[in-house]
Amino acid sequence: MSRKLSLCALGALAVGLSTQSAQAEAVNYGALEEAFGEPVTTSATGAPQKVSDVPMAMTIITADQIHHAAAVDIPGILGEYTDLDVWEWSNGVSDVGARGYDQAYSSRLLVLINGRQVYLDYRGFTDWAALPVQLAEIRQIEVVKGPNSALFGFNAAGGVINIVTYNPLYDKVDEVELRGGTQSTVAGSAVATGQIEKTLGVRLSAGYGRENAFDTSSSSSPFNINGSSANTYTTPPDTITNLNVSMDSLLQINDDTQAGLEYTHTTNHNQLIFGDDYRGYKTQTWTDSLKGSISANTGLGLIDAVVYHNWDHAAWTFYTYPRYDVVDGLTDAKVQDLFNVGSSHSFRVAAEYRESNINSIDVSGSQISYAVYSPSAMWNWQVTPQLDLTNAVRLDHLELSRTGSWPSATTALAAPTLTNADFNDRSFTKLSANSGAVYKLTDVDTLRASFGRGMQIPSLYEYALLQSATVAWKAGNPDLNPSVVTNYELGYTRDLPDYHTKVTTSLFYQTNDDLVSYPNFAASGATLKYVNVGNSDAWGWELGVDGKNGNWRWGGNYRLEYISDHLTVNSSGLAYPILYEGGAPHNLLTGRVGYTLDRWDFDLFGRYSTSYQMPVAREVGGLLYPVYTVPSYATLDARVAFNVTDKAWIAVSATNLQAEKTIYTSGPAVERQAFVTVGMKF
Amino acid sequence: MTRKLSHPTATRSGSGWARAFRSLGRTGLASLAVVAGALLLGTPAAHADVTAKDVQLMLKVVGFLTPPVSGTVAVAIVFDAANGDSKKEAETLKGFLDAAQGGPIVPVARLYSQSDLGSLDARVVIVTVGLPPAELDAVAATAQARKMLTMSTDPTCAKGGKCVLSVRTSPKVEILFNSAVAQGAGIEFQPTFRMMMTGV
Repeated sequence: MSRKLSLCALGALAVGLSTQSAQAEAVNYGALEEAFGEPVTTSATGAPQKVSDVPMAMTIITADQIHHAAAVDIPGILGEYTDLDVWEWSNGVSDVGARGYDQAYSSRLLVLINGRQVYLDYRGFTDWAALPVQLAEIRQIEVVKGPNSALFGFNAAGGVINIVTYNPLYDKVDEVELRGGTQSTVAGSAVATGQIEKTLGVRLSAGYGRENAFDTSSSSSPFNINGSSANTYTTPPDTITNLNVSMDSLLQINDDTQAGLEYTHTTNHNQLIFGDDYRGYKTQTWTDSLKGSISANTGLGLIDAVVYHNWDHAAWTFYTYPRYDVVDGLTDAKVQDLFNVGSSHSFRVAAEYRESNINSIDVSGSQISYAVYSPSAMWNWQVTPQLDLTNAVRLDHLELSRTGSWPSATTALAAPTLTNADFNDRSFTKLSANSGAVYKLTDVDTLRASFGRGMQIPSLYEYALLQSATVAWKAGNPDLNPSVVTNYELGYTRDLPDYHTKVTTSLFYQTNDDLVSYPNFAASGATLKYVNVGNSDAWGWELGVDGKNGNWRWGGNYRLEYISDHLTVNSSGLAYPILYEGGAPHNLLTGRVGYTLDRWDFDLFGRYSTSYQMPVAREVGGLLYPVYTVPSYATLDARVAFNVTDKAWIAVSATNLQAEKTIYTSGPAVERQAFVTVGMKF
Repeated sequence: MTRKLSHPTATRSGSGWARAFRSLGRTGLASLAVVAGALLLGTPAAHADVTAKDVQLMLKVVGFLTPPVSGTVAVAIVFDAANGDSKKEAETLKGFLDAAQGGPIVPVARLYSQSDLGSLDARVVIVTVGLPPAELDAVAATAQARKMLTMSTDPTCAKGGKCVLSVRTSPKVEILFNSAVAQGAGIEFQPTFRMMMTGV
């Protein structure tokens, strides 16, 4: 869908629904949290729920926790408060995975801001540094571990992170932060909210950051910056810059109807991002998004309609190859109705349309796109006040298409054998499902049992890449099947009110079918295609502790996990960069403690990981990826803040305090960082 | 043909489960100890007397009524004059309500005994614990006829079809909602709030 069509759709929804009469409200997270005494989420079933009632493993990082974090970016904060896998590749660039299965260009974790996808479909990853959100405007970060495709559709395969910002109509956030630090870091952000009481709220935010890339080669890291060995990559940039701005607004049309409008823009220059081939690419990206929404309570229930469009332009530079540019777009339109039947049944029915396209993906300048049509439904049944059942299903029908010409034969290469019909005839329909039971044994004991079946759709790159590698075509594959993730889970939560602590534990078993990978770039001969490469399964045990009492705050996570790959490739070496077995630590442990003494805040975060393996890309020297073992590590982050007044503070924070350099990946070593932040609320 | 790449820590012999539990090692055992300790500590709190938090929750709940309610709200507290506990709870409730004057809902509380029910006039009725069944029936019928929101800290009030809501805050917030009573009294809540209450 073009930009013009997207805007027309937004307008049509606004006109079509604004005349409906009912009592409407966007989810007022603040008021609901205040009433129920705990964070509220819609990311589990689509309906608002207390976090203790959700039928799946979920962690919510609150605004207060974000404020006390030592890390200054979202992946770092996730590493401090959760047991997610966080691979920090370079300054500001990370890949995040849930329950292992992390990889370069982590494609299994769907990331959203207020339900708007910031995960990039076309390449199947999240550019964390390009998220158009300031930490000060985040109400909470919702982390779902395990598939949740029945609500969010394709790509919510391994987990979901939904970043929820403050509501511009209900919440007034006015804050400025300035930061300086090592690696020549200079950063600033500002958030301002304007409100006409109970009628209109507008929040504006902007952030800018500049910092130097990590440039210290490590004697033990395989990544050789500026070297001449087989593992040499793109020369990292000297300076990285990020700029992002956003506007979020909500209009109370009458007692019954609300309309929202959001706009965001990001510009990121000179990041070192590691692609799904584990090579380091110097990138520049520009993104814009526009989102409109209407909420109305009708006689048929609470109806929400949302339309958004994301534009993205990315430019890659790799090694000695010329820069190439990609322009892509994603349009999503969704209507859902939430309603109750009697006192025990809630339902959500929804229909969603999404279209993702990309051009300049291949040598002929063609355009590749897919359209997805998705009906879905959720039924929540309070069987008794103690027992709650939730079932959700979703059908995704995908149609792939390609327009444009194909390249001719060259002296080295025959013409590709694919035709546009290979893409235009490709379609499939897949079912996702989530079911869960929550049983409150006592006032403080809750049991959970859940099942999830999620889908990971191949990216447009994986479907339709076409590039000349001198002696071979690098090609996508329109016949790829989506990967299917199935998760079975038992959970138990115990509140300890006398100790102001909550203990949560989960046991899970997960299967992953039809995984996708791509052979090493160095091969020659036949066309190199993305293919389905087999299956993998995992089981694990998780334990989480979270508490707060008076001036103290504490928590921690432990994860034990074992993954077994059953691949159809890599029988005699790592020809394909897929390595889930051994690619996640068997033991992952985090811990945190904080204390407020008068005007001082002290917070300490630790993380310990046993070793794990990763592929090492190299430009020359063989068909197989070497395997690098990331050594076990223990890290320490800390923050000390002095609150000058109730609304002004100065903080000193540091990450990776324990060593000058720490290795998390087969990329560059991560350097110790320290920051001084001055903040003020108005 | 599948080739499994060995994990650097998985070099010892034995089954996967055996390896797993060996690998669990000190870290895992320490974690298990935390769990075991957590489960042994702490017991569910028994139902307690009405607290200021309960009253704050009641006022917050009123804020989710639709059409919206704000400003001065008449609150009737119904008690059994022959029951000392009921009377004491009523006085405690009134004290908390009289003190809760700073929010968007400004309660004006008044005590009603059985003999006063004929003159019951309020937007919200709070039913104290221990009302005799006949008196409870009379309150429910009067409130329903006069479109009043009935609440209690006693869970049996909503479960028994006498109140729209039963609320409590300890050990955790619980709001029981009787949709039949609400429908009879013409009481409606904002839909997102409605979905989060526990139906009875």
